[in-house]
Amino acid sequence: MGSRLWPCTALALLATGALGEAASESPDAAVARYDYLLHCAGCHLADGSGAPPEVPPLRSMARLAAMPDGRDYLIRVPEVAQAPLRNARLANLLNWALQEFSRDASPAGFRPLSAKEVGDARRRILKDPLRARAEILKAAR
Amino acid sequence: MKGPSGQQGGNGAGIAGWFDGAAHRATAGLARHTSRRGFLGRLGAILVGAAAVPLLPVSRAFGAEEEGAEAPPPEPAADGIVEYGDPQSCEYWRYCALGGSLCSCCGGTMNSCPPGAEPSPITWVGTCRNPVDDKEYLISYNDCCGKAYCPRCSCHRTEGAKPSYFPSKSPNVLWCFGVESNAYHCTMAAVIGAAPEEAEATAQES
Repeated sequence: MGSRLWPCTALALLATGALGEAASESPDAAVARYDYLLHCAGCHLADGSGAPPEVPPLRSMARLAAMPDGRDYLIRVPEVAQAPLRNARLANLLNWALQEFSRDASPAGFRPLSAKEVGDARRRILKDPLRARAEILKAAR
Repeated sequence: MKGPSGQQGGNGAGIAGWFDGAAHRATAGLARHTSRRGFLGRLGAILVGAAAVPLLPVSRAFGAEEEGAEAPPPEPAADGIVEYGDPQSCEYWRYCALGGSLCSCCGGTMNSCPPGAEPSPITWVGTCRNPVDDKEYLISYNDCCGKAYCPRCSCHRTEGAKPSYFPSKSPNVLWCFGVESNAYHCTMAAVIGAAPEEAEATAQES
C-alpha cells in the first residue's frame, strides 16, 4: 500500500511546493529552480529524492563533486551535458542543485562550477557513465 | 335547478351533492377573480421565459471569447492560476505537448488519475503558454498506469516537444516508470511552476 501512496504524495509536493517557494529567491536561484523543474525534476522529482534504484537521489551530488574527477563527471552525465541550456545557465543550475540538495554534505571551500569549466567538460562525451561513476567512487575510498 | 339526479334521495346523493356544490362555488369564485386573457397572458409569459433561459449570459461567455468581445474575468483555481477553457478538450492550453489520452475526460482530472489507475512519479516536464496571462508555465505530464488505454479522449500535440531520440522532452515515450504496471491509461497535465522573467532573458539553446 505504501508504494502506491508515495507517488501521490510526490505529485502533491510537485504541484504545491514549486509554485509557493519561488517568491523570495535571487534571480539566479529562481532561474536555476525553473531549469531544474523543466529539465531534471521529471525523473529526480522536485525535491531531488529521485526514484531509486533507477533514478538516483541528488543528496550525494556534493560528495561526488568533491572527489577527483567528480566535478567533471557531474557535468558530463549525458542528461546534464545534453540539456538544452547554455553553459552559464547549466553552471548556474548545477551550482544551485549542489547547494539545494546536498547542503549538509557540502565540503568546505567548494569552488562553484564556472561556465567555462562546464563548456569544456560537456564537450567530452561520457561513453559509460555507470562505469565512470564506479571508478570515481572506488578511487575515493 | 333540479335534474333527475336531484330527485334521488339517500346519503350517497347528499355527499355527491355537497361535492357538486363545492366544485361549483370554487369554479365560480375562480371565474369571478380571473380572466381568460389574464391566464393566457401569464401562460405565454411562462412559455417565453422558459425558452429564454438558455439565452441568459451563462452560455454567452464562450461566444464572447470567440468573437473577441470582453468576457467575464475567469476565477483563479485552487493553485492560484487563472485559466480558461475546457480541460476535456485537446485544445486546452495545458496540453500543448501532450501525447496520449486526457485523464480529465477519462474519470480523472488534470492533477489526479481516474479510479484504479496509478500515477507514475517519473515523467517529463515541458512548458505551455497560458493565454489568460500570456505566461509560460511548467507542465508535468505524468502518466496514469495499471489500466488499459482510455480511448475516449486521444490527444496528440507536440508544441515545443522533441523527437523520441531526446526522450526527456518527448511525449511519445511511455512514462509508466516506478509503478507496479507499465500499462498506459492516460496522461495528466499538472502545473508545477511558472517561468521567472529572467528565464526568458537568458533563453535556452534550441
